[in-house]
Amino acid sequence: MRALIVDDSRVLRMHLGEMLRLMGWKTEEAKNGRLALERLRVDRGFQLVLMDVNMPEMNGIECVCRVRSELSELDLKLMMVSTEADSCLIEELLANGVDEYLMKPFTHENLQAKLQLMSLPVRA
Amino acid sequence: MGGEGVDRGDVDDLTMEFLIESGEGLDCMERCLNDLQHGSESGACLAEIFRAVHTMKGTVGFLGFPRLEKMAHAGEALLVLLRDGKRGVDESVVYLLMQLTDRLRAVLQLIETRGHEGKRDVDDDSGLIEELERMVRGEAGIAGVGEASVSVGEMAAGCMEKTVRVEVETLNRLMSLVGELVETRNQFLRADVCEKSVARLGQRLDGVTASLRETVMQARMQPVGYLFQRIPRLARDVAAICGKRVRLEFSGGDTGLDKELLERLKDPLVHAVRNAIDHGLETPQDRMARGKPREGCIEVSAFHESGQIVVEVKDDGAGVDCERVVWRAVELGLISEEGGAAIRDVEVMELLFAPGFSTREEVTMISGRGVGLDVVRTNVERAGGSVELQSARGEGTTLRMRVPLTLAILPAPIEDCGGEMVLAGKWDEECRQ
Repeated sequence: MRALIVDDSRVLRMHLGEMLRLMGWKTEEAKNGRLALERLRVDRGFQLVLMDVNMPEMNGIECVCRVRSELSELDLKLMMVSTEADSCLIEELLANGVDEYLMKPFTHENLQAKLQLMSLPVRA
Repeated sequence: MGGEGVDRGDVDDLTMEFLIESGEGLDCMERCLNDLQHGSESGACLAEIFRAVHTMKGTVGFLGFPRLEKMAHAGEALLVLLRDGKRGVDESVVYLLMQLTDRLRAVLQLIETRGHEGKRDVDDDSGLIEELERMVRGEAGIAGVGEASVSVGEMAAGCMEKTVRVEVETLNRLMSLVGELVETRNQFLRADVCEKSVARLGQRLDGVTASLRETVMQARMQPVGYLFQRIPRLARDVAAICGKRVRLEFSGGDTGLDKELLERLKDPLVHAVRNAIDHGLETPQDRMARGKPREGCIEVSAFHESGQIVVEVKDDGAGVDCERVVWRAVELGLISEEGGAAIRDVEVMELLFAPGFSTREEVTMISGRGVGLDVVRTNVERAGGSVELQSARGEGTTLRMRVPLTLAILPAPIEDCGGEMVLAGKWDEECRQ
């Protein structure tokens, strides 16, 4: 199982990557929405994308919208990972093809619970 | 290579990465704040500043640094308003955000050196946070938020010094040179190597090591402009406290200098600029009285000169008052009265470098007591360089720091010492062959 971590913070990519690898995932990283989109266009082997909201070049909201419209054939779970707690924004995201939402900071258990909600495998 | 190791708290990889990333974010924030102050288009600047603080806020939560989290949170709230144009950017906003930058940086440094954020009752951030919140609520006024900004110069981001940005192309070149080296070694190790090919391989080895050395040196070269980044900020604070007005001019920022030397010049340069403003420049009133423009000018420049790099701080202030310096030196017992009478101007300049020398009776907040030129000289000399001072009465003073291009590998002769080969301590280019 492969996951793409999209965040402009190296620290967060490292941290999230470590957590996911402990759960049995292979991870790759992109530092903004544009690079993530480019990656997803050519590499169709991802099952999960974890996406930050606020990023340079292309933010997470634009990126998920474009993934869902331009790459609609992909069987891909999209999870936003952000500090934004604005419920309108969250609803808008969920309406735009986002599967789950995870608030920063989160624990290993939080992440695990969210993955299970999306019926994704999690190694204990 | 590598500076003297800082005694570091127990900092794991993730925290180290956090310190580096946040340090970079704050550098960027500081640059943008300076741009804002000089009337740059605010949209892009604000977006960058917002991102720096936002990213920090997003990551501190994982690492458990509540002090940073609270400050970043308060800062972010204000930055959202600014970014969305709900509040205009004025001097007081920039000032407050600069204070935020300083405070965040200070806490990062605490984490790096001690592994924790420091005691809250000692380093109280509530004043700053309150100011930020008041500004968010739209209440004007910026009362003293503490004097943290005075010591900016000392608070250079610690972990930035431990890393260096290298172009991928340079790394690739290094990699292929290492490949060459391995290949040469393999040929040496082949059993059938004959005498003729040993000579050829030796030559090749010579070529590869020379290129390798040169490329590594190149990778260590960083633009001197890196040192200039924090000066506008420092100058502004120092000038405000001394009641001076300063205009800064920079040149030669793209001059390359070995990373290690660059770090070693950082403190001396800060001292030099501080000295130039505090001791060199006159107050606006004095300048007017002497027919000079109200605003003093400090030129900070870097350039090559006869195989060395010169970093120069030049002010258009009052120049050194030789009589006063001599009088003070006699008073401090550095020279005798008779000695003082016979002294030449060049020697007067030397007196300024004497440890503990200060012409100020009172200790100023900026330059402190006697901390200054002797420290500058010691630091630069430790880096293998030298410092000189030139001054013309009424026209200004120039402090020139010279350092070698790089802390190069110096060739040394190999001597046979009873069957053991040792490097002789004499540095002589001739001995290389």
